[in-house]
Amino acid sequence: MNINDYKKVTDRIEPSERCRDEVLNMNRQKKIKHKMNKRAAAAIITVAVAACSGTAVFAAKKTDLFSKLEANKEQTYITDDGREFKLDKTPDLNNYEVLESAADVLDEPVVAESEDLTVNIETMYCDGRNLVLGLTGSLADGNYAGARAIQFNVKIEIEDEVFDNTKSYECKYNWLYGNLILEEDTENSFTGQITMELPDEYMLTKSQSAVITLFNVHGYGAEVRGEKGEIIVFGDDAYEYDDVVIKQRIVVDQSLINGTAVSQEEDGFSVKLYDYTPANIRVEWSYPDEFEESLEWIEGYEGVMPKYSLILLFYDENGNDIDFLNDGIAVAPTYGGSLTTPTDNTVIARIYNKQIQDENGNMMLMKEFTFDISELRTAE
Amino acid sequence: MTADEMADIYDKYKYCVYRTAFVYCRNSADAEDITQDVFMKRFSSNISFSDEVKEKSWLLKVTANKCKDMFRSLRYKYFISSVSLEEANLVYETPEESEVYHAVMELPPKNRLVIHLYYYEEYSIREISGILGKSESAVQTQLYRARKQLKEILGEELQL
Repeated sequence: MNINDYKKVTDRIEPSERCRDEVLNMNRQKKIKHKMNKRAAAAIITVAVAACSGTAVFAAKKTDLFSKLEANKEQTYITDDGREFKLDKTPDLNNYEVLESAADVLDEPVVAESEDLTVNIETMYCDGRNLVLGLTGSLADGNYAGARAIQFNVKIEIEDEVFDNTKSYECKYNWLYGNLILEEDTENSFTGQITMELPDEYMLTKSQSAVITLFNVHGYGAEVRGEKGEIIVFGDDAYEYDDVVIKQRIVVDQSLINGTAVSQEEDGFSVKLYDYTPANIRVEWSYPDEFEESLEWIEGYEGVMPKYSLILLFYDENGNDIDFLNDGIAVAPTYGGSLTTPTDNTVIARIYNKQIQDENGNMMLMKEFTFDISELRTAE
Repeated sequence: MTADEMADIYDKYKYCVYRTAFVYCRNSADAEDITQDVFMKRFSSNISFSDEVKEKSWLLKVTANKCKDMFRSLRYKYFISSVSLEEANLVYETPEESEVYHAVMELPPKNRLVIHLYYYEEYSIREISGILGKSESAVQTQLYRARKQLKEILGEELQL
């Protein structure tokens, strides 16, 4: 057998004439979608917000939204044959236990609706680098299709910048996503969030108005299986809903960022935690030069096999994972990312060599550092 | 850009864009959606390319990113591992062609994309790293793993 066999089959694959027509006529047709309601223009509701003076806009109001958002992360759907899937697929990495103390609960939720969906912005957190909006929502048809989750793409327009999570190649954000999940034991009460993390060059430095669009909105309910028993669609079908457009004033509080850094170094390995916020903590790490020689020829093998493949993981003092947002395995020096802000003060950083594992599949531990982040915390 | 210019660009690059999208999505509907998105972005951009090599690389870079975006969003979060390979558009002239093609399409999306770019589009490691936005070492690792997985699936030496 020869890889040319793959090439021969691929040579015969062609796009349809309809595809050509749609491209050249700029006449995109959506595929495999169902519509619950007749398409109509999205309605926009603008909420006039008083001029921002930092903290005066929002009342000290309580909400149980954050506990619901934490609960959303654990919600699962169990299939007929007992397989379990999480409803939150993105996943949501926010620690609402910490974020709650710094987020503002809107005295009057910002409401926006389309013919299909009503969305309310109930809470807002923004330190200039991170934006987290707490949402509630409901479907106009009473959730007839039995949706368990509503997925959507997000576009946020702030002055001249457009942050669109279908355009990650523009590298304007590190993270941008959102969803709504049906609260347990309810029929049509959804809670969710929109979360965005920005790199330094796009940080928000002042409070300003934004237009937030939820598009490609789809509801998912019960699963549909294929002939072999595989899941074809999570949901009776991918029901499509109209876009929702929200105008919202984003209130920025950069005092929530603590620029203090803590770092440790040993034998050429180092980990640094800095720029603490209630949303996340930035991380930089590095390793000795010898690990940069990560590729070498293995005798008898016609190819290149990496000798070293280091990975950095974080744990709390009980051994639980702390989510680390990066692009996966880092094989480059001084790789950075964002660590979900933990509730407790002890953070354990471990650097492993993935290439070397014991008989139980445990990776080889290269270095471990323990941090006390209490001095990093801002007055939340 | 005139209609003729758009048609020329589409006809020149439709195969490489569509086939790259298809290897990632494994079905024609999503592959065509991505193909349309890629060309609409091309037509609406003001980029001028010094040669066809650069233009093709740019198109495949956008294709790979759109595949990645689709992978991260919506339906694919729920059932990417369960999307069956769409056989209707595939033609095999020998049993070996079917075996090898299915083996490649069984690989994880990132690995089969690297196999496609390396063996079908005949890009170098460096060029693939530019298209996918990854380090050369990361691409080499993916290629190594993909080759290893192909040999495991096919159960015999695959001539690469």
